[in-house]
Amino acid sequence: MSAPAAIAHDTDDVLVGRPSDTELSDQLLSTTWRPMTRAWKIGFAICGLLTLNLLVMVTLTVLRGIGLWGNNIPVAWGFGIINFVWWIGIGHAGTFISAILLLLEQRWRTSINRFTEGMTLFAVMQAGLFPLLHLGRPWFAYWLFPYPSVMDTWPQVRSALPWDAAAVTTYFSVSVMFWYLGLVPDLAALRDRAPSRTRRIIYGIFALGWRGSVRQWRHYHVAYLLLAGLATPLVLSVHSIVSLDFASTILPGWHSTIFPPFFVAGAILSGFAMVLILILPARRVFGLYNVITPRHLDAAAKMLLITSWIVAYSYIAELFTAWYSGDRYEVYQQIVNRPFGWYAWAYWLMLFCNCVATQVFWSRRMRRSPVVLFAVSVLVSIGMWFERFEIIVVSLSRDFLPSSWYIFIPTWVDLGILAGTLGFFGLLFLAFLRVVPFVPVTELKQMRAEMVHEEVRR
Amino acid sequence: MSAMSHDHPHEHPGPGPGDDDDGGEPGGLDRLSRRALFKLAGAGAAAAGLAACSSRPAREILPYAGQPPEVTPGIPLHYATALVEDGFATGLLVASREGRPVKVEGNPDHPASLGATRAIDQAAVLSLFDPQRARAVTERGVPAAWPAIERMLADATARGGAGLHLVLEPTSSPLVIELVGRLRAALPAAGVTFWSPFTPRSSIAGNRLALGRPLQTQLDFRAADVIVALDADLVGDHPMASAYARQIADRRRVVDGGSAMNRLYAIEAGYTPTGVMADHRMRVRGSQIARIAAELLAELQRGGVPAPAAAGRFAQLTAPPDRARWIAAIARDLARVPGRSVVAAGERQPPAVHATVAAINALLGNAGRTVGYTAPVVFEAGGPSHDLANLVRAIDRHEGDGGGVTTLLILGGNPVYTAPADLAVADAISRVDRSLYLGLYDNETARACRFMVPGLHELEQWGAARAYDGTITPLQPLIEPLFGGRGVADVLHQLLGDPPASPRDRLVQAWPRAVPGADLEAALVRGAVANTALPGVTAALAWDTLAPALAAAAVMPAEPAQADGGATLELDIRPHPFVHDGRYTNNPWLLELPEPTTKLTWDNAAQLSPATAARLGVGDGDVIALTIPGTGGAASRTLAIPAILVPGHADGAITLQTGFGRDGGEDIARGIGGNAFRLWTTTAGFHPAARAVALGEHRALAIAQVEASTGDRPIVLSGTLHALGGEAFRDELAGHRGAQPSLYPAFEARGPQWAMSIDLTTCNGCSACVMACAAENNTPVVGKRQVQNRRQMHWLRIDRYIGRYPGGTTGAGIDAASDATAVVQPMLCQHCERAPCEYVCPVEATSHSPDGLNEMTYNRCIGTRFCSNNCPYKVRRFNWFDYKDHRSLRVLGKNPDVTVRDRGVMEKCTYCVQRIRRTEIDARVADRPIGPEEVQTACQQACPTRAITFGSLTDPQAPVVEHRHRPHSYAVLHDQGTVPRTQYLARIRNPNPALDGTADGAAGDRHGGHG
Amino acid sequence: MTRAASARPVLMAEFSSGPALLDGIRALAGSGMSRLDAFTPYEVAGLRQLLGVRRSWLSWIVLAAALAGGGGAYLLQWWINVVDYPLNIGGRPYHSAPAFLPITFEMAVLCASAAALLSAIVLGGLPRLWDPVFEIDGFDRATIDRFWVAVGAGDAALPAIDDAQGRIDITTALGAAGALRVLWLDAADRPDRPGWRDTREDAR
Repeated sequence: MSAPAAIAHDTDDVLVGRPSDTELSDQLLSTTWRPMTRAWKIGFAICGLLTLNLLVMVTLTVLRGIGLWGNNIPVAWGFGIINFVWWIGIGHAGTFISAILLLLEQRWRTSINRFTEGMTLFAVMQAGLFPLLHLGRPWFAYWLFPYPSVMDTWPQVRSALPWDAAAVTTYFSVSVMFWYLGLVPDLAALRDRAPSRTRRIIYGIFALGWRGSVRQWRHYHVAYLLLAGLATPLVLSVHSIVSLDFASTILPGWHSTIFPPFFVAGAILSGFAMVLILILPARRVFGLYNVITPRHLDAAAKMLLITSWIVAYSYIAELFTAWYSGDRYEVYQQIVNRPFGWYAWAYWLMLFCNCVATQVFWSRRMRRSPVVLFAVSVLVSIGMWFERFEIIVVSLSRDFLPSSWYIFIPTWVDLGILAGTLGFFGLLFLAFLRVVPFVPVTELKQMRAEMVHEEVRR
Repeated sequence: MSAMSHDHPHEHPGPGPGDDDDGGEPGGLDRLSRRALFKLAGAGAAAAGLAACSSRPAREILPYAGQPPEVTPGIPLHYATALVEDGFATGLLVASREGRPVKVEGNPDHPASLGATRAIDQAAVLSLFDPQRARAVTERGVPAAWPAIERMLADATARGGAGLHLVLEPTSSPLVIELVGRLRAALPAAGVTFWSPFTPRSSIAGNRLALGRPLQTQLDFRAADVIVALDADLVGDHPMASAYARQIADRRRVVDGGSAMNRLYAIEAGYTPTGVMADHRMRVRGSQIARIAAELLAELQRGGVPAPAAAGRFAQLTAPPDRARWIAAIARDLARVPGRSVVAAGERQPPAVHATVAAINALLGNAGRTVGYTAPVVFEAGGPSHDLANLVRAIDRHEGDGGGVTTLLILGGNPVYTAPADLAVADAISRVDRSLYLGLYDNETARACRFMVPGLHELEQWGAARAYDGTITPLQPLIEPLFGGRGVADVLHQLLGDPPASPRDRLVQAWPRAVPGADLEAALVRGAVANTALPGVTAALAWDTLAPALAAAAVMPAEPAQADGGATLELDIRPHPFVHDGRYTNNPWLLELPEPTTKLTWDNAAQLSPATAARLGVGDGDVIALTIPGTGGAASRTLAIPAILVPGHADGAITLQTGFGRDGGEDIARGIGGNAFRLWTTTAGFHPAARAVALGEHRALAIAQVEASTGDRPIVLSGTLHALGGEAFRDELAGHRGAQPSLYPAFEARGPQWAMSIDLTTCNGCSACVMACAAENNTPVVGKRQVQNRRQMHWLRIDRYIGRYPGGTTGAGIDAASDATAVVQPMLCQHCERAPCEYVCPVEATSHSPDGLNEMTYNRCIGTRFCSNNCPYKVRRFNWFDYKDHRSLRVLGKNPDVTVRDRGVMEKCTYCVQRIRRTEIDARVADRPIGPEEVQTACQQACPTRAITFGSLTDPQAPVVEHRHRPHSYAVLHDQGTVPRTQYLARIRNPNPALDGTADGAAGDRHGGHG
Repeated sequence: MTRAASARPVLMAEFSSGPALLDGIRALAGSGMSRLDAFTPYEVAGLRQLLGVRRSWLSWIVLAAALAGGGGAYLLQWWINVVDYPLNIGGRPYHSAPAFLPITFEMAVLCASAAALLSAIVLGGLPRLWDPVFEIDGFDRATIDRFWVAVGAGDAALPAIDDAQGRIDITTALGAAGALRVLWLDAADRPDRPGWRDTREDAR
């Protein structure tokens, strides 16, 4: 992945060169009709197989019961909830980039925001599977939502799970809306540019007849900003609420007030890692070195560094509060069980991946080396998965009464489902690359125009 | 419609519909007959269920033809009957629902039960409805006809019993005894042997040594201030265990520091419930007990207890230094209360020990007060007819003179499996031409015999037996024989050529002769005949036989407690507390019930102390090869079996429990664990010179509890009686109960407020409550692999924690780990007033009732398991798979009052809400208040020591309220603010000050919460 | 302005860049035209102000939706737990206000977002899959790299159909401002007149 180096180093711009509107449009729209590369096909095949495997595992689980998983009493939550939290967290970077950075007028977000929004959607889809699957009776999942039933039964809203349901559904819907609104002008462009008539018709329908009249831009602009404004507190709220699944209990290792910010930071860390894992290959495959420049990589790497420090701080804070509280159960959980218990290896692995590995990004060269970025991102993704493992499995395996302490060992179904969601995620993502321009053409053209404007003024 | 419909109805001896129109009979029997009629309905139900093998019992229940007046559908009826084990009866009340026995309770009027049950009794219903019971007469495995058997018996009779040999289980039934008598008279040439591995032999022989006559020891703990159990599991493994446990516990009910408490010394090798209950426990190898008994006697003499000159030379005996202090202290304690103590020896100990113990009790003046002697309850107990060698000898004579055995009738038991290893019973039987086995299962013996005849379960039988104290106990069937089985009496009658009659008629006819002057119907109603306990016998010590025995014990070398003789270990073999000698091994309830002190399920294992395990280099599940050197030219025998570490076990010894390693036709029993009988000989329950080698293999055991330390958490609080009198401990305890600051407003409570109190001082971990809970609440069995996955479904479990105590266990206190002491704690839903499980449920599937119950709404549960995560007591259970066995015959034993839970649903203890509601309805119907102890939970009702108390906090008369006010009442994890409705009474010990270093117990207590 | 939006465009001019478009519009405004509309591939800075289009008032709809969603959610939770089916859940009060907040917030955001998207579409006159301007040859580049201005019918300053000179002046003015093409859409039936071209001819 060192091919871009030549281009990479001759500018520190978010857009290499000043391609005309026409050039940009052709380059970026064409990803949807350009013939598929071999790499894409291979990836698609692999992901397809994994998705099939997911289908099988899910069917088994629903038919036989979650006894097929490794869960037990005391460890009643296992891979299901770990994967849920992990995937949700990954989603966060997308919204963070497209919404928060938009409000902060960070130009470098422009060329990657659609990409990361897509990632958000697909990650949240994976996450959404697990709250359903991990139920003993998944077919009654709708009982979490308030609907008038003859029995007058309602959800119990003091529990964090209905909060979850509300947060995740809201998060997904809002992400979809935000994503779609941003897409409309590009869909219109595709309607007017796509090679085949069928494509034009399909894109035309989704473009809703967008004409780019000043009147449409007038409302569009405000709506887009408002959605960004709404998505910002939303994205912060979602993982805070997810963290309440744990923080609102009395379990040692869960019962903690620092969870919400801690979880959000972790989410963004894992999210940015996933962004890089996805964007580096895509950038190479579709030769987008001019729109996804070293400047982008550099910014992402800095985000990794910052969030990894926040996470590290949280780990330290956890230990401190445990010790300071003097609560014998908390002390045992944080200071004995996690670092030295049955799962000590997982704890140290987590610390290495989330706190140590990221430190390479103090170096500018590392921040701009796709290889290093990719490697560290993979490590961080693993580390963040194990962070959730620590919180959920390790805490549960040793709680209050030693008599019920027991170890959790995942089954092949657990592993199969995790692998399956990775495949399904990849499948959706590869499809997304082919269906819509994954770099927002309109926004990029506008940004270019503004940049030219500024350069003229200078 | 009767069970016989798929066998030979006309031949069936049991009461058919025809037998019931006995209007001509004395009116006294009308109700009896109606009840019999009523039972038929259930019988039809069961039979149909069997024939149809359908999954919908509802369809199989037949409507009442003519409803007997005492029967109302939906209302359980209780009938008094009994279970008989090794010849001793335990009186029970069995609840019958629409003709199906569904639940066993103790019979308060029966001396061996006193209203309580053992775990085994609770599981009887499941054994009755065991789909794997033998179903038809077979010859060499192929179905055969009863007439063939009849011909065989007739032939044997015709030959005056020549070549006929019978093997029966030891019996105390007056009816069977009478039949055996008639048989011997009619067929003098016939041989009769009684066999059961664990029927009392040694004690009776010992008493013959000490008292000159074969006598059975009867203990009475009601007046005993000091109890010394020498390798005697008085509350666990004894025909009177339930009653003895109650008597001992009644003297240990601590109200405050001023309460009087008896003092229990347990000196044993393995860890038993008696050891758990003990104030002082010394772990020694079984072979040392003889020496210790002698030392004790000698010490008593030195202490001035008058003894005749006959024991003179004996008085010089002294204990080895590491236990001298103990022996001295115990002796002083005994001498302190002459006539108010009990010294008891276990059945595994050789006669000499029992003789010594008899002497001690006599010298202490206990004889006639706390220790009595009666004629043996079991027919010819201790006599030659109880030696299985007779059978082998009889068969071997075959080759020699013309005698020998041509017809062998094994009526019950399972001698092929339980025979001492030094007797080759199996191939002896194979040499008999016509052998017949009558039993419940196609087991090892059945497979060794030519004919197999299905037997009767106690709940299908008419009959009678004596309790351990001799009390006559009638048996009556709760249901028609499911598989048309036959009783032992039926076969004997057949042999004697008696005309066919229904078993009930035979009971009616034989009763007046068996129990003169006792009304049968009254006996059946009450379940026992009052004042039929055998009269006590006063016998003076027979020094001429006793002295040599004592002398022998005196010269035996004293091993230091810690010496584990190099490569050779002592092998102790004892019956498993739940499957006994293997007769219950096909009962999954009993297999999944964790063994009281090891917590092992679905297996037996070689129990050894951590020190010994370290020396062998093995841990839990590591397989060791146990070898017994062959004696007298016999080949040595080896058994490969996984090890399990038991802190508190004697060093240099291994305890093996029997009942496993079965290889009969029972699918569940076959192939689990190892067969201890292969290493067992009748001479003694322990083998001094076994060899053990680690094989390097590992066999995963299903141990229900892996972490044994409380880590100083406030879970099991405990201290000494002395400490309870002092401020420090009382204040510490007070910190674990009472109101907690809360932000939430109090909820107004309506109606009674149910609460439970559990006394950890009297709980010995026998686990009867766990089984009772399973039987009452239809909790499923999940199997070994799922136990290894930690998915047991028991709503009530018994936690076993191990730590250091004032008093506690010692083996000269060298090895901390091995000397550790166990405490047990029944753990069930605590019904917290601020239940953490409730507020995390997203669908209101668990909520709080106005009368203080933490309720589960199964239909509403979607199985997030969030509640379990947030339950600090981890008492919630989840249906990981579909555990309903609707296609099995076992469904007939389910409690119709309790929902059978579906897959994916959470469940837990309900405080037996079905019992609460039933009582409330009854009270409302009768327009009266609910009595203070009227509602009894299943666990409470089964508990032999009455450790569990249940009632309403709003009722000042309720004992549970009084318990709440005791200084040692506390809430587990009080610091979590869950406000549990279940509270515990701290474990209080009464150590001998002379042995207990720490006078104020709390300080030395490593279990209490120092919160 | 809004009426112009619905009014059929009479004059349309095509530009190659945003700045050029702005010049053209200034030219038209100079000649007093007010019923102007513009079609651009992306937002051109200053365009809205130049055309005198007020800032969108869509924010108020969104605010209303947020309040409705949040308030509704809280009320529902209160009604469920206090009025319709009060249950003792772990000894917590029926009205556990703090526990009701997360859902309240989420519902507010959800409703607000939905409102924002829908009103952006509806107020923008969408969905409208066909529009007369789509018939104009080359208009398809309006979403790619061309910038169009339109003058709606009935604009007072718009030269009448037979005022050939007036139209020629405007055409040249636009040309001077950098217009690539100038189209008079109402004169299709007057082929003999100078100063305009029939786009529909080209379309054929």
